[in-house]
Amino acid sequence: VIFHSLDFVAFFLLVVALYWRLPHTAQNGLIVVASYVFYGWVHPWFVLLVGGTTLLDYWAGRKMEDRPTRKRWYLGLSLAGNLGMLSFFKYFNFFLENVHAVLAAAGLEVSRPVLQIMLPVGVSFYTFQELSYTIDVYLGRLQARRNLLTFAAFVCFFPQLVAGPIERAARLLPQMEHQRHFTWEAARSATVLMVWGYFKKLVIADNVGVIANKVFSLADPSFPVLWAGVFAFAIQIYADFSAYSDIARGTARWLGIDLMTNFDHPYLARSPADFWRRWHISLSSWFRDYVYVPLGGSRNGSFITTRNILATFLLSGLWHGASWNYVLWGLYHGVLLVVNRALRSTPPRSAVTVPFRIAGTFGLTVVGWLFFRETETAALFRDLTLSPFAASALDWRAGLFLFLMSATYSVPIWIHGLWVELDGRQPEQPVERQPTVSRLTLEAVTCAVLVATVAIFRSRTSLDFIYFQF
Amino acid sequence: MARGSPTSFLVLVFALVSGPVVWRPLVSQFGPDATALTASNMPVLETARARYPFDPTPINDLKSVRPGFIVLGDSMSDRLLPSRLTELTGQPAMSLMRLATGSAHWYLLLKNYVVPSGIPPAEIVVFFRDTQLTDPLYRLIGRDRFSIDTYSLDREDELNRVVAAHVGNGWFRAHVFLDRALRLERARDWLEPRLTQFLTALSAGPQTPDDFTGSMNRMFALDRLRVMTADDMGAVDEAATDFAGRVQRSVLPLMIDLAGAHGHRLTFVRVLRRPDDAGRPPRESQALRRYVQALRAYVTTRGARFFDDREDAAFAGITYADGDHIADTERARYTDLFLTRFEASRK
Repeated sequence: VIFHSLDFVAFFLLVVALYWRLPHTAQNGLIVVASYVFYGWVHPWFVLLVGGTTLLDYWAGRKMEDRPTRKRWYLGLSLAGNLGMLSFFKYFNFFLENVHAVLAAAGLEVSRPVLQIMLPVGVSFYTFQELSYTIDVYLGRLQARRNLLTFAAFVCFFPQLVAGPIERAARLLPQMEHQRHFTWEAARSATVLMVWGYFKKLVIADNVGVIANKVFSLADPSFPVLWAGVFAFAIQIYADFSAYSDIARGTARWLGIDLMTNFDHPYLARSPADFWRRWHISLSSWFRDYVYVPLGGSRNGSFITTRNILATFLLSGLWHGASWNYVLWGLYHGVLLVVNRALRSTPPRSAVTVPFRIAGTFGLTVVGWLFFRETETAALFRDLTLSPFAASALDWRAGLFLFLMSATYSVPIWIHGLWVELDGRQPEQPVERQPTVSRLTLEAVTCAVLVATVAIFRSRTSLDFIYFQF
Repeated sequence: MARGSPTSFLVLVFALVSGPVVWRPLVSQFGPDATALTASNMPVLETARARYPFDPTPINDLKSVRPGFIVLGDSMSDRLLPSRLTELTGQPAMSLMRLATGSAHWYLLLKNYVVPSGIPPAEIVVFFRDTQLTDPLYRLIGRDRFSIDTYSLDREDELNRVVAAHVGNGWFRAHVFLDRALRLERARDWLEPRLTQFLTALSAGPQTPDDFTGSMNRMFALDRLRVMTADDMGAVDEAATDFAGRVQRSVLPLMIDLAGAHGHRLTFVRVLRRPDDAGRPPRESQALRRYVQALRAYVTTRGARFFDDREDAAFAGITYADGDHIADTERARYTDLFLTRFEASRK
């Protein structure tokens, strides 16, 4: 089931209606059943994968506590199970292709078996979520759970099963274990989140996505048209992915569960390092805590730090997909961070420079999206060597038109971001708190306008959420 | 037990519900004059809308060419080269291809162009992908509904009946109800062109907006697109492969009856979708295989021909350009292969 389908609306209303009539244990049971229905809606065998890894990690967690002398083995089994499954579904053909290419380059022509492997949606997300559990149990940060139902609910919780946020066990498991209460304030704030999410998906991402797809379908785009397309993609991917996270958080909040914030206006970041504190926070913090820090972080001098940053971002790129463009995208951001660290020792800049730093960071981020969107390596290098001087006047006007079109659709995102920034970056209000009358009025009017705009300007081309493919 | 006061939640819900409702009086006040709209030719979808006029030119073309072969379909039918077919058979061939269309469009082209032209019985070749023949809604709703205007009459009762059989679905009925109640499509048809025109005016420079739009269309024309490994239509929806459940709710029986009544002979050609780099056709599900078998049996027992390019190894050697479209240079070869098979089926 996908969030922007009427099937989901019916599914969600049914689940919420049942959920709050049940006692706590039965609520977790409903979460598991509903999540398996949600996940297996199109391909029921997907449920076997999530069910299988759930059993493996539940067992590994318990064994680590029961037999601490052998906990390294059980962690190894958990890692092998989760990463093995991820590698098979996601990287097997990529690996074969590259082995074949290397052999061919060495003059060895061997026939290459091609397995038609379908990547189960969400596998990259829930395997990382489960790994956070077994690694934390191994490190003694978390107690192993003895209730399989609660653990299964933590793994497969449907709002965030398919595309995150990748929750930490230490954050989500206690919420699954404790009694939950329905509050009208949580319902209100959840609804606001969902409306904003649906607006970003159906009006912004899907409309701008059409422009990006058009540009990236061109065999030989000109410089201005290409970069207008990359700009469109930058808007699309943020609107699309943050929309998913907002709808997921809103859906979860309706069920009394608070999921972490996954995006914090990343296009208003002041530096590449700031960008990664705001973009896909659940994944970047996962890599920070489970890859960068264990590698030594920034504790062992600049050379080791540079190595750790590049290794972390290379893996982060590879997490997004089995393709060289994602590796390049990861390395590009790794290099940006290394340079960012090197420049950090310069004296602090004044507030006057903030708009320029935001614009510069946004520009660098947009360049990165070219690596992300262009999956053909040859085309990527061609795109990077395009000259602005080779473009005709018509190319520039076409680029301007496409840019203006994308920029127009993106206006609400910028307004919202600036509003939050200028508001002094107030953390989100606790959901239990009653809003002031002025805030409620503003919220209600904004939501009314958003819903009306969705009804009229929703894209007629409904695109899948981009992060489903990862 | 719910905690807290529901007041703020109810205020929000009221705003959410009333937001779209506000559009109705706004559109009525500032939008297009309802009396200037034409009654829809498919009232099951909408009551009235702005429509393009019927274009009778192809009827006159048919009368003057008197083709022995007529090609119907979307861009898939472009693989058959009418000039080559004319050269090989000695009979004029004419294409009524319409880009980005579906079976409902092809039915209208047959009914409103071929039949009224009164030409002698001809071979009508319809190119299609997978389940298009039993999916009348494909390219018929949303923005695509405008493209049928130039070849549809003021009322299309048969097509309306077919479409009505699909919109019995509760979700679709809800969509149509909301659209009518809130005038969503009308509001969009009113607002969207204004946004586009405004941005076009800002970008067109010395060109007129129409010229600029034409330049943009040429920039993104089919021959400017890259070779894509993915096809351009996406995977077939498994629910669409229930042939028995869908055929009577499709235009296929109408097309067969109409052609038969006027002596035309139909040939349905299922095109081979882009093979992979090793020349293997894309995988297809058991359900789709069963669907194609049922489709073949249905049309052949009703006197039409049925070709499946997927079954003929010769077609796998064709070079593709983008998506499911074959390379321009392969059109003559495809036409030769098609004719060889066609002649064999006549014997």
